[in-house]
Amino acid sequence: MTFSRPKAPRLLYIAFYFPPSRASGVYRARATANHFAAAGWDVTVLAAPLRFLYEVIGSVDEKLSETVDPRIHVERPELDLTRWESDLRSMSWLQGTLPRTAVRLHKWREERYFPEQYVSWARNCVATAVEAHNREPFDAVLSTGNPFAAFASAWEIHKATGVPYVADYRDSWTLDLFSDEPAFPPKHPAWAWEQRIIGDSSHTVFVNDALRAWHADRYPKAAERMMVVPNGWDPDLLDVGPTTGASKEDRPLRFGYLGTVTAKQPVAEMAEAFRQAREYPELLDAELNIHGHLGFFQTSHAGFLPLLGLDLNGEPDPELDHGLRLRGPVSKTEVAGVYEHNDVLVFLAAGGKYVTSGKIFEYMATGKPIVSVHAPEIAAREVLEGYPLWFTADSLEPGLVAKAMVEAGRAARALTPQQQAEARAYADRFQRDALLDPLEAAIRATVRRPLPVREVNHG
Amino acid sequence: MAEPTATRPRVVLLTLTYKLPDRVQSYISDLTGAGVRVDLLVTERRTVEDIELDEELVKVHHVFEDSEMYGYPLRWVERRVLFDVPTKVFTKTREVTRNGERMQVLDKTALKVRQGQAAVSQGVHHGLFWPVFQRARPLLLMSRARKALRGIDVAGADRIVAADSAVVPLAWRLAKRYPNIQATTALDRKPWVK
Repeated sequence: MTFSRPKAPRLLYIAFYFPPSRASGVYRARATANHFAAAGWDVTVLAAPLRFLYEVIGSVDEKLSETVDPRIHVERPELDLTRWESDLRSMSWLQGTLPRTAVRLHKWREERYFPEQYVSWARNCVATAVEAHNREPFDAVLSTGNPFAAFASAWEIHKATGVPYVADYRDSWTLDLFSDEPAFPPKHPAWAWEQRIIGDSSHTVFVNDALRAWHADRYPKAAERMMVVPNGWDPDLLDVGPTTGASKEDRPLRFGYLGTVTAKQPVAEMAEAFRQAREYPELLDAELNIHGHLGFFQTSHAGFLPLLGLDLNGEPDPELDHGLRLRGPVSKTEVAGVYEHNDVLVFLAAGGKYVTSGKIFEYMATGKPIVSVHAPEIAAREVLEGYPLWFTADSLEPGLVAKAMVEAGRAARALTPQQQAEARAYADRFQRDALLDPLEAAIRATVRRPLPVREVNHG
Repeated sequence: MAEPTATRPRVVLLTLTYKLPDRVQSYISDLTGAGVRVDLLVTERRTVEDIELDEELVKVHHVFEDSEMYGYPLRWVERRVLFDVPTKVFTKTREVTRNGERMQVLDKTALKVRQGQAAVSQGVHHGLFWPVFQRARPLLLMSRARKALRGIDVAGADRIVAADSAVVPLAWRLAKRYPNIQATTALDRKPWVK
């Protein structure tokens, strides 16, 4: 008599933004899929169609695809591109004749089902998933939003097949993170959808405890099934190099901010604080390097330039200059060089008590001093409070922020390899793999059949 | 040695707004900066009146030599009936009623009627005529633009660009007629602008 070995558990992962997309949320999705594959799951990902990534968004990083575990199977259900269609020949007769009416009709049709523009993709996800499930059943479904239509498709798949699902709120949906108020009016269909999605999910995941608590308050019956998986950082994408302590070069201090500067961030406060900080001898001639875009659109940079003391070409304006330098966008492969170049990292963030920026984990991984420029009650405090080289004014008053910058500058000058190693040791607990373990265990526990013993294999 | 103008790439840029938007102006400027020739189709002559364009590289074509309004009898009649004629009538009336105390009551009444008429005319224009005309305009323009298109060598162009939604019906038909030319609504500068 022979016993066959139980088959590997099968996970269906619904993640619109997946490599080669280089959207900000893609790193969590990439790490999650890799983590489950390494933990012995047979992972199928449903992701955005490549035409959308290449032609509509145009934000791709093909090298990122090489970091996806080759055991992962990726499918890309269709997305109706009517509202984004720019190729005239691909337009239907209706859109080519009455373009506005056609788009309005298309939106009306989509919004009847789900209040989001990715609904056609979500519907195709359901069809693809049910077909694949009929060939070989899935054991669990994990969906990540945004887009939140991914949650709707997980719910539909659950209804059609009975497979348990988890909704991973990588981003906030019904809560506006900038105003801390509900993002939709009371009777908006998003509320009914969220209620059924959270109500029927086996677990709901949030990136910080403040968000978990807000949702637990709204959906108390599901509160016990809610969990927090912070964003963390990816050691395979960030080589932080050896701990060297303070720079040995005889030069002014370098402060650095990495990311897109947006109108919601306290940019004016940061610029003014840095101007004041440079009046202290420790920060004489210091510079604050901005590595990223100014605004999300090509035309949105003009409004920021005078605030930063820069002229229309992004160069320092002699009359306004107070040490801010625009260094432009950085590819993921150059990020380590940016951290190496700067002595102090500036954590400029918008929003309040529900915001944890993903970049703070990478900042901590460098083991360098971090100075905060954001609202004092921000959720990122949750992780920053244990970091030994965190400097905060607990205020956005420029004079106080300037003092925090000066203290961070002093710490950078005196930084020892030992201090840096201690800071990095704290950041190590936020390595993505470690953070994903509880999620993997929770989903494994929902599987209704015997599974092979868990063996971690990073491919 | 500079590349002869005739061999440079050429874009047929179609736009049927009344004023050339900034994004279209900057698109033309980027293309001509990279040496690309542009056949620009606009609604009226005055659409580009105050705009500096590279005369060597940009050739402007108009759907209407004069104002678009004179191209459509219905629009012209609407303007006359709702605005021009009432204005003339009331101006003449007030020339009479304004003088003399005995006419004061009539003058006040005329003013009130004038205010009421202006409100009704604006309501009819913005609430009824314009929404209908705006929807029909792209289709009307399509037939009116044929004459202007005769002056453009579309078959020899490298790209057809529809810069606004009003011109999509025209551009869509050109795209079908010339299947080998890239036809898009995106103001894409690649591959000419680095």
